[in-house]
Amino acid sequence: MRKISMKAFILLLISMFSLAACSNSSSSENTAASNNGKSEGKGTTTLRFATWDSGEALKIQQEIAKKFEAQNPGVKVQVEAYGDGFDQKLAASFGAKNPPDVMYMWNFPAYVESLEPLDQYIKGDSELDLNDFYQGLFNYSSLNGKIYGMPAGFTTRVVYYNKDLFDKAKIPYPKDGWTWDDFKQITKKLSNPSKKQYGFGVVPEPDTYDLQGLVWSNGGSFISDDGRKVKGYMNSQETIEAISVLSEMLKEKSAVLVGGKNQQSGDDIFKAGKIAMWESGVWPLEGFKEAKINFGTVEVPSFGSKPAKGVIASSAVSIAKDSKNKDLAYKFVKFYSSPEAIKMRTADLPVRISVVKEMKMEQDPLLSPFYKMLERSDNTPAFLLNKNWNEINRNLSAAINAVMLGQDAEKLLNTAAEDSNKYLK
Amino acid sequence: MVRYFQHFKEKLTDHLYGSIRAKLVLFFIIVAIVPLLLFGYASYKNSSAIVNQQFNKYETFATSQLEKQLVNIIDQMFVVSNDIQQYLSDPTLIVIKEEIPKTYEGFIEKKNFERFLEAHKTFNTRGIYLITSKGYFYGGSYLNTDKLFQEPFWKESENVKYGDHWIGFYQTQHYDSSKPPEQMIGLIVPIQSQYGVLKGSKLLIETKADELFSYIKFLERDVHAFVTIRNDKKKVLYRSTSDRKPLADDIVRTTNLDAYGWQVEVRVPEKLFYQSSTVIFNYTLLAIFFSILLASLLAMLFADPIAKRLRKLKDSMGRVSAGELDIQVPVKEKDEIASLTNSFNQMVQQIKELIEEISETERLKRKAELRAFHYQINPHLLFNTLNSIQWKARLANAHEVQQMIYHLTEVLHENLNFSDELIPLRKELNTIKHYLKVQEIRYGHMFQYEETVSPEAMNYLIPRLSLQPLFENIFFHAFEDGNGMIKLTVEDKADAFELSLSDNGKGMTADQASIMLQPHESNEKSRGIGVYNVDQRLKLHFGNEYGLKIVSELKKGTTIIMCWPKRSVSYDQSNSSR
Repeated sequence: MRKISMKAFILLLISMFSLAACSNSSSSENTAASNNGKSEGKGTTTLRFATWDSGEALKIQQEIAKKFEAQNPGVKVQVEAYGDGFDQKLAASFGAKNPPDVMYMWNFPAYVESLEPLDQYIKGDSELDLNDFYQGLFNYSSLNGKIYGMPAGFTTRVVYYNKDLFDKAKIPYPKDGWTWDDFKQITKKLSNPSKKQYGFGVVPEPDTYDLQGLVWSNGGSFISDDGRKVKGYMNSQETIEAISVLSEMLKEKSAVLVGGKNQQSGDDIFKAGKIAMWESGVWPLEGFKEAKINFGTVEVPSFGSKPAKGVIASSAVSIAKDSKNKDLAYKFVKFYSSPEAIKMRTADLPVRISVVKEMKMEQDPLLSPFYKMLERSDNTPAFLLNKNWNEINRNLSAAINAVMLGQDAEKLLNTAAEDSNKYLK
Repeated sequence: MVRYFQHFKEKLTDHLYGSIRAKLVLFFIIVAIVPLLLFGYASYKNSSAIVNQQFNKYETFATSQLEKQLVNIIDQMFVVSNDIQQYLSDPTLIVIKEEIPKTYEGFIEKKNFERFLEAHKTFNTRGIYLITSKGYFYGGSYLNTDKLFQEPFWKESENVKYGDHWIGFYQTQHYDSSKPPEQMIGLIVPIQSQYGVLKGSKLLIETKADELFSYIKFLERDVHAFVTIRNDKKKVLYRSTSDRKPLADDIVRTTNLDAYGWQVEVRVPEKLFYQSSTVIFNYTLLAIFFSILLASLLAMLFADPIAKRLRKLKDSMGRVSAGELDIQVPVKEKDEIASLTNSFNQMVQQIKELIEEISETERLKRKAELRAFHYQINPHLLFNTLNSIQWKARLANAHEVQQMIYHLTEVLHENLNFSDELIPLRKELNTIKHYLKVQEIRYGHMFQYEETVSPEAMNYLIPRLSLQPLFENIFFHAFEDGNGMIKLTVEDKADAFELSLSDNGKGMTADQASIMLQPHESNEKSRGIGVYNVDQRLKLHFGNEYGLKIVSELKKGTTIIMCWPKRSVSYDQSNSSR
């Protein structure tokens, strides 16, 4: 009896001391853990994914990543939101040979050296049906006959119009197949400069990329199809004419400059009902709906009998050449372009025909023009045709910026073409 | 109150000294606390020293990181601003000729300049802008200068003259309002262009201060520091938001960024600085508390059985003292208490036996007293009757009968007198004479009696009836028909007397003689019972060294030697008066 209780006493004492010791050591472990908070657990592979999105669009991507993690135990997808600094950070990571495994991509010529061609993976993948994708999209993520990015989302550009303003002026709603002449007449009727009311909004320093549809519709282009010449293309009569459409409307005050420095954006001005028509991608559509604007969408106008053409803004996902987990990266890319993931993306349009059919998007009057424009987007954008397009584009956009401020289009486009010649081999 | 306290104190001392359990609890607590206190104190001292040192390093590291980061950012912004100013003032380069580009050349210049600005951006750069007085700006397209011009920090920078600059922290409000504001550190430098187009323009370099603020937040959150950053004009650029007021005993670390005259002050409240040690201290206290609890618990567990056993023993003792002598405390263990209990049990058993014995003797004594009483009553009748007979005998002239009754009466008088246990030897010898007269009348002049006693011995005391049984014995056993010789001698032996009574009767063997002094069966008729009683009474009165000795030879005679101490009448009186 006494021996037992003596032993129990000693045991208790020991356990008490060890308890005290434990609590001390655990507290020091805590601080150590908080220092190494970023260290990963054993047995998990981390896949880095870089995106330029922020806000709601970023949340969607994080959810897609989580779903991928759930389907692939042991994999952690680290979503890196580069935001505005996307190009800077991506270029830096490529330079440091420590790039994200998978990244958003549109500017393929700039990064093609660092990207992994996907043809090999696609060929060996019997599950993947490339025919389910809108074929025009591959045009935008391919270079030199190789696919470098899997389409994830896209948008084409359409014309938004404010039905209330049309009704007020008793003008019938525009229909697919309308022309720039129709467009100009409508803008004239819907403009009242004294009330700061205009038919259309033009960006003073537009991205020349967005103007390509307009130029192609008139049979013009900024660069030759082989990418070797700009003279005779950038300053061709068709190109000058197409650009002049916008500057003329500005001169006639049937259109107004919006979205310049310190100015309200075109989206906001359209929402405020101060411009009757606005040309843009799918991005502001939800915002217009939320603002309860009575609006419609329509294909862009054509130049007479010439077919109207469009340009696509696409998001693709690519794999870095220096990725250490390329197979896993491809698995993620494939998941990212799977119907399941594409259905989750609401910030842009689905790239898969089956998803569009299933969601009856082509029957949606607001969305169908986007898919019609997709069919009209079979031209290759200039940046895919020449490596030095950035430099050429500086001259081109300087000229177009000046034209929008009322200067002579022909003269400036000639100068820009002349100045750009030095960037062509 | 004081009385109550005193009462409590008394109660406590009572408890402490009055109960084994309390003592054991105290013992256990002391045994637990002393090493714990030593251990706790040592571990508290050492670990708190280590922790404080680490905390100090931790804080120093965070502070130095903060400073480094600050210096880096500011350095870099200055390098960039110098580079841009040089570019703008270099006459050989094509620089901006129009404040707001309107021409193809103007746009080309703008794009080139923006590319130049872009090239100076680093990872943390939010933006590099050249902002004209009219609100036009170079560098990106997201800035809202209308909002920017309303910002307090921009208004503050209005007063900055050429050659000077403004640096500070602020939250971005001048970008897309849908995005949350970001924490920035900004540098604003007025531009002097000799062409005058950019007159009043300012260069704004914005660097994201997230990382910088992560260090500040780290200091504020993990180190509980209060961070203050002041510029060279002692203007506060940043101050931790806190309800706490700076105290005199705060632990303050102030560092100067020499290049810019900035001052970073990290103030940690003393209490929080030593928070870790306080935690250790608290844990030690907790450990001590638990050990006290444990000790008390163990002591109770320990002490309870012992105390219980002792209590049981004590209760049993109480019951024994109350007279319950049948108690036997069961013993299971083999420890000291068990042996104590065993002794107790034995003691109770012995007491019980003793008491039984005593009560038995007491019973016998009472019986004897009763008998004595009985005898006392009867003598009156006997003496009266004997006196009557004596008188009747005298009247009838039966002289011999009268003599015989007279002597018998004298002998019986002595025999039935219980008043004094010790009587003078003279008196006893007198009675013997009467006894011998009776025998003489019975048997005639058949025997001779010689008595040699010194006169002073006559006054010393001897137990009543200690000689008569010896004489009776002689007549009963030694002589036949009272025929023989009896000699009595008393010798004075310093502090004792030695009396020898010799006869020349039958005598006996040594075995028979020794049997005479052994206790007999309570058969009153058996031989020598009187002699044994005399021996016992002498021993009872004076001790075992006194008593009778018998020397006898068959056919020759027997000598009984009686030995007793000298006792005078006065001694006996003083003795009996007790």
